[in-house]
Amino acid sequence: MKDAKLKIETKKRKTFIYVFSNIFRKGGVYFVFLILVVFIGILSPKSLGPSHIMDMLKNSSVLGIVSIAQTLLILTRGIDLSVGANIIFVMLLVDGISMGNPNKTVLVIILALVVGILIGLLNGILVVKLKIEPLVGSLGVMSLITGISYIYTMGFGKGTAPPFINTLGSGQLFGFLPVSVVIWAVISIVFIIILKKTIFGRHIYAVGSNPKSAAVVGINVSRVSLIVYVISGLLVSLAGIIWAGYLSSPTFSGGQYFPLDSIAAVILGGTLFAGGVGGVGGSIIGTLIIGFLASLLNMIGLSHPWKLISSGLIILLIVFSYSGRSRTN
Amino acid sequence: MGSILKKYVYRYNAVIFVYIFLIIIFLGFSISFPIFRSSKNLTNILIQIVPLAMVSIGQTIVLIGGGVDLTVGSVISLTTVIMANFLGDVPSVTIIRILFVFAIAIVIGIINGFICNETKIAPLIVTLCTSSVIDGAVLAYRMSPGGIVPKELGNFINFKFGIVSVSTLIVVVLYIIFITIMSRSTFGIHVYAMGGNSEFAKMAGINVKRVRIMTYIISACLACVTGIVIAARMGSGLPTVGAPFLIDSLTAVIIGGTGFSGGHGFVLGTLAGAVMISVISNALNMANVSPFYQYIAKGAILLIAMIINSRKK
Repeated sequence: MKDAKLKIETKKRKTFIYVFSNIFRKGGVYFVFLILVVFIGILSPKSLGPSHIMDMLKNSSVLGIVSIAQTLLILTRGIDLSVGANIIFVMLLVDGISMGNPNKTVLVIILALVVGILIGLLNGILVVKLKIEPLVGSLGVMSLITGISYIYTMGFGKGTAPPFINTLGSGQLFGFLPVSVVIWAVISIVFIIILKKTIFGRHIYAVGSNPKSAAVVGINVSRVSLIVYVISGLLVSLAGIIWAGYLSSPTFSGGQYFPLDSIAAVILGGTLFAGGVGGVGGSIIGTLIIGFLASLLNMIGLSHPWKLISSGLIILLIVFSYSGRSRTN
Repeated sequence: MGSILKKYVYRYNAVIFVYIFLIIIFLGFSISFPIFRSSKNLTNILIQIVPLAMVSIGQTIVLIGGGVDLTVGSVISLTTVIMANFLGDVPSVTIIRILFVFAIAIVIGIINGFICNETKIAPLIVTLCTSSVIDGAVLAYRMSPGGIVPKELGNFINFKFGIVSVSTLIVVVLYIIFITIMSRSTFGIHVYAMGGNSEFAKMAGINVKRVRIMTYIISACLACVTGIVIAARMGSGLPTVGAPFLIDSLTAVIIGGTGFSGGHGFVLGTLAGAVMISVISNALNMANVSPFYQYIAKGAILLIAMIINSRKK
């Protein structure tokens, strides 16, 4: 009798926890983001003013665009560690070829996008056609592109971005809206629509959740994956163009954070490593968490080492808070 | 006899291929550059391979177990700064420093393994976050290179028997130990089983959690040994010295035929991968090629090895 009662009680408790955790899991990342914003608001109410928020968004926009590319790849069971090297390479090309000459703007933009497509194609062929594991393939490509960047510049980036590209990276529309944030927003909306509303988007989810059954249903799995790689190469090169405009002079540093930050943003956003589950919306919030967290830690006045420590712990905690305990327990 | 040979060739074909590749590269360099085959340079190569070869053993074991360890570079940096600073500048504290870094490495391994066990977070993210924490701790402890590692340690590590130094001997011993563990012991079999399918391994009665924690402890401890060797050689603490070892160790392991999917791979192959990376960068140095080309060489070799490996499957 007592046993039965206990059983019912634990069942009740379990369902309560289940419901609660389900709400948290579905909206977890938004919750966390809200908490972060509240924290920033308490610590320094001024920093939630429009100009400061626009600044934080501007600083996150390059990572945001890269995270969209990474989301598409992780959804189809891919991954790309070469994004940082590619951004740096595109930036060096844009700065080095144009040398700040406005007449070459169109030329360098086209060149950069072509380079992006080619790198995406290379990654895609390695993974899709030659059946190399994505992590490894992109590791090799990363090494190659880094080498090419160094050889191209002999270690010192030269030149500067033309005015139009500077506007893309650090200019403002109507005096308050950063252009790069607008680009990020447009790309986000486009890819949210593509993923949710188009046949190609459904194919991406199908390929990610089970490539074999996707193939059985008649989806050309390797073509879908290859297109995703090319699209992400294109997005990364666009991020590289914006990065060139964002920085005043070309530098090699900074690129190394993109691969792991973008993966962290995607995972924070609730996209599963296993593929097939997640979306661009979560990754946007994930990027914002990383960006806002950085400025929050700045605001508190932490030095660089303590920022590394706390961001590592906080990201781990956030991912844990909605991915939960292991099922094997 | 023939069938046994066939069995071995089948089982180790990835490894055999890497060694053939390595021999071809080695012969190619020896024929083209006379300086490369000089005994002085060969001694140098034997010393240069040491750190990468050591740290890659641990990475191999973690990868075979279905995980990945991004903290190796950070642990190396941590070890060097502690070896150079901890407890002041007294020669007699060397032993205490060594014990202390091993204790820290074991704790780091336990933390990595524990989080991977108890949560659903992917090992890549777990170790990414812990490595960020360790990097921060290292930089908080020591922002710039400095401190003094006792000379005796450096003298011991670099002591040479003919062309073989003590550090090279340590590598050889470590490889013999871990090749034996992974191919002969129950623990090794458990790691392969866990990497192949952790659920099935659990059903078969393997204490998966303990095995996983052990793999991360081994990896952290080997990174720690690597850090000690580097600290002894450099004579001071270098807070960012470990960073390149992360990518290089993954490259060495993958060239050696161990995959990211877990459950397969060989420690012996990793040795060839590590040697190959060191030999190529040494040969490019000897040939006066700009160091920038090493990135391209590394990337190209990684991709070629992977393409050939995936062709055979």
